[in-house]
Amino acid sequence: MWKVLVLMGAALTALSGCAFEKVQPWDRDLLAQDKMQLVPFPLDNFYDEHINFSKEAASGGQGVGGGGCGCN
Amino acid sequence: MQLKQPRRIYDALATASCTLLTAAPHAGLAADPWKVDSGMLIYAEQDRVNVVEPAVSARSSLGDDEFLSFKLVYDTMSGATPNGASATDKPQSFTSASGQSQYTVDANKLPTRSFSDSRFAGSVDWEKPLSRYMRTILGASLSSETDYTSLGLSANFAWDINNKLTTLAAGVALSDDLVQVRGTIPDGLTQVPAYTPTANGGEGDGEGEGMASKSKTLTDLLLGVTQVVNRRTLTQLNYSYGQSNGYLTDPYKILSVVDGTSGETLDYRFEKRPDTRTRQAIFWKSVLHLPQDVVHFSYRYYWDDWNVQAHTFDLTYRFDTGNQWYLAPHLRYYTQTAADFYKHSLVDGQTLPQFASADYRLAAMKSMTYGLKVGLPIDAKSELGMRVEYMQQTGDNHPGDAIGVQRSQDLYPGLNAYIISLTYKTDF
Repeated sequence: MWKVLVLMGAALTALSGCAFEKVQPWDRDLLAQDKMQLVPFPLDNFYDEHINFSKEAASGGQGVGGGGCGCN
Repeated sequence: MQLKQPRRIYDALATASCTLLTAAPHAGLAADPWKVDSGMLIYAEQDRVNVVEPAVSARSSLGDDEFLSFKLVYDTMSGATPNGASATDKPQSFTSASGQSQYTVDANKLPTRSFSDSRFAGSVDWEKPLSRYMRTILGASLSSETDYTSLGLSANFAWDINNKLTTLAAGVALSDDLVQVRGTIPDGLTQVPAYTPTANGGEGDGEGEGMASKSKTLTDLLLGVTQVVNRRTLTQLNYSYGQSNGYLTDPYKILSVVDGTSGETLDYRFEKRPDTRTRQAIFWKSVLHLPQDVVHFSYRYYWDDWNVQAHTFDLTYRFDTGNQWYLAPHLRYYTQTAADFYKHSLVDGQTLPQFASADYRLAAMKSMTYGLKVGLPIDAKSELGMRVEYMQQTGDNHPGDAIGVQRSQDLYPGLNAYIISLTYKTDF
């Protein structure tokens, strides 16, 4: 677990120095749109997570919480 | 006329003061206090399981950037699910754990068990700012079906830094689940008993039998970073760690025990899985705004101590037609390795392994999903969405270790499913 976190932290630190622009608040109009959200359709995403959890061995990554089910 | 003038002024003042008095305390609620998202899912597997799942979620503003959300879900499930046994060239009979009920499967057919159940699930989330840059979401959830109950609690924190261009997230979720079975919960890897109905047992799916239960707990942790890359790009990197403890076996799943030379089925044993599982995943998602269209791409690498490793690629391209409505094609590719105790069947005379399962979800397999969503904004606050998807799972139908008659059977139950969802969201 710690090895993964250290690797992720190192990658982000390396990227943050050069790859990310300082986007000013008045330039965030596109980012504020509904379609630019990480999860633009929460209910579709909920359905997908439920189906994939019940049919596959892998789960997790997107978030935690929201309830379990006996489907797997 | 002269007399009426003061009356008008008085009325106008009274109206204005009332408006001010009533409007002021609700200033925080003025902008759409309710957001409602409702949907209906129809999930239909070819020759297998069907699920209908209506869901509604509502998010209410409590003012001062505080929100309360509810979600209610009701599933009805029915159909046939693989029981773990292998197809063979003779008809097969299967018995429940207590020997009280029985069903048969034709020769050369995938052994499946019919079931029907319904599930109710509800959750509530309370979102509250802790400071100008920090917020928390505390959640509780409950899910209940005939043979499974889940109770969950979660806490998520988000911390905006770097002029709100970076958000750090941390979350923890706990779940206390109960597996309930009519009759008895079988001991792992024991023989499936012969069919011996008693007077009070009765036929059917364990009718007249009492309930037995076993529990499991799940703990999940998440750490994540979301970063604005530029004016058109947002990216997220998450790491999740999950620990499951307790009864992780599926009480309904069995394995065929086959003859070491002919491959004929001689017997059946209940499956048995370890009672702990450590799950980890790295999840990366990026959203890119092209001149008009928007692309969502994600990749997840998953691994656990059952030796399952999985890669998931997901791509959605939202194509704005210029006439309000949009089309969003979706592609998802998933591949996993088998759990180290996965076996399509056991061989008679060999030493029993410590754990074994023939659950196709623990086998090496690939899954492709192709989808298309049509989104139709009705007005500035409402949108209707319809999505049709097709999912296809494939695995090793003819594994190299198949014996005798097994070589002419399909030993991986591939899956084809249609997924249709209709969603409607509105603010009021």
